[in-house]
Amino acid sequence: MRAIVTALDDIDLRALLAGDKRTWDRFVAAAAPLIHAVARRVVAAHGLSGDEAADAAQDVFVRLCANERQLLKSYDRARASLATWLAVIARSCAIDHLRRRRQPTAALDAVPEAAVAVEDRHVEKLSIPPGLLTERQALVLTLLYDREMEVADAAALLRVDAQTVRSTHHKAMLRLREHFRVSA
Amino acid sequence: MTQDDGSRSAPDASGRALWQRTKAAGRAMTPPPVSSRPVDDGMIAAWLDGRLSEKDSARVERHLVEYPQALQAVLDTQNALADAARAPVPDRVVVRAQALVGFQAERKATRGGLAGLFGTLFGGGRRALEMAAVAAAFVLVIAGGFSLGGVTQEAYARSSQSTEMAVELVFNPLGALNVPPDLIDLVEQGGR
Repeated sequence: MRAIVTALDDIDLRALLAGDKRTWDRFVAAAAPLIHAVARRVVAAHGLSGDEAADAAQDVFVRLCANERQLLKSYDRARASLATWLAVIARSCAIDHLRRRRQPTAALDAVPEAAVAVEDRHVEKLSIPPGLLTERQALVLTLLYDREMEVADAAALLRVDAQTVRSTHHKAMLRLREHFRVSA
Repeated sequence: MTQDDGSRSAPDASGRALWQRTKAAGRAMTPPPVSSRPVDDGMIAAWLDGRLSEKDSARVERHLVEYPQALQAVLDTQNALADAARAPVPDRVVVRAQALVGFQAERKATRGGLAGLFGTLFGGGRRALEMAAVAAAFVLVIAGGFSLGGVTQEAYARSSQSTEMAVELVFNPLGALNVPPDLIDLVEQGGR
């Protein structure tokens, strides 16, 4: 992964946005593994074959260079690495690609539940009583209980150590126990 | 009162029950007003890289808690970032993507001159010219048929030749009308 991040960070953004052919080719070579990996996950979640991933990946590149590379021009190097930004953008583009190509005759049972949730634009919003937990505490509880993630995996996502996650969980539990004991 | 030891700070069944109770209490509430500034892909990427301010991080994290599909997107993205180096990418993905910019560059370079004019007139290249030729031939055949309407025997004698020409028109319209090969090449260059 580090090699991909480094390769993308080394891309001459100015030349890329100007449409230089050689820079574009280098960018594609560096970005293709990442974008294809994202596309493959998206199509797998929708119960589609791996061949669809190549088409979804191609659609991502088309979107990146469309309208004089308008989408690429929206990238802000100060906010995120190019690799992370591309991965997020690629997922959104791949989802849009599948929505446009979705076959209406596909049986709902054939589509995994995760895909239904992703496809459904009207998922109910989850609300927490205001002031009860911090945003970080609520997210930790979501990761550990709703997503059943291991503490180490949650820590990696949040970019903290495992003990910090356990401590956050513990403080959240203290607040919840106090709240419901008072409410009861 | 709980003690701050490892077992109490680990997820457990009682913690799960408390969390479920919390969510149920949230569902019973009136939904709070929607934040005026949405969380976009750029913010998500910045959050994943740990580059947001505390305030913006809190906003993203609230968004991830409130919208499960947004959290799923983040988890998928993180997993893909980890997978990317390991999984092979088909060559055609790279080749097709690299061709995007080269295709546009060549198209701009050939816009000038007679080739560009034919490219503008017949934007679809050879196929558009074929269709135009077939349409013109159709008009001629119809016009010829009306003019021969009164000469039945002559029309019958020509029927076999007409059939051959019709077949040629369908499968090789440009050849049937003896369109010069140079013109065909010129249109194909302009159409690209």
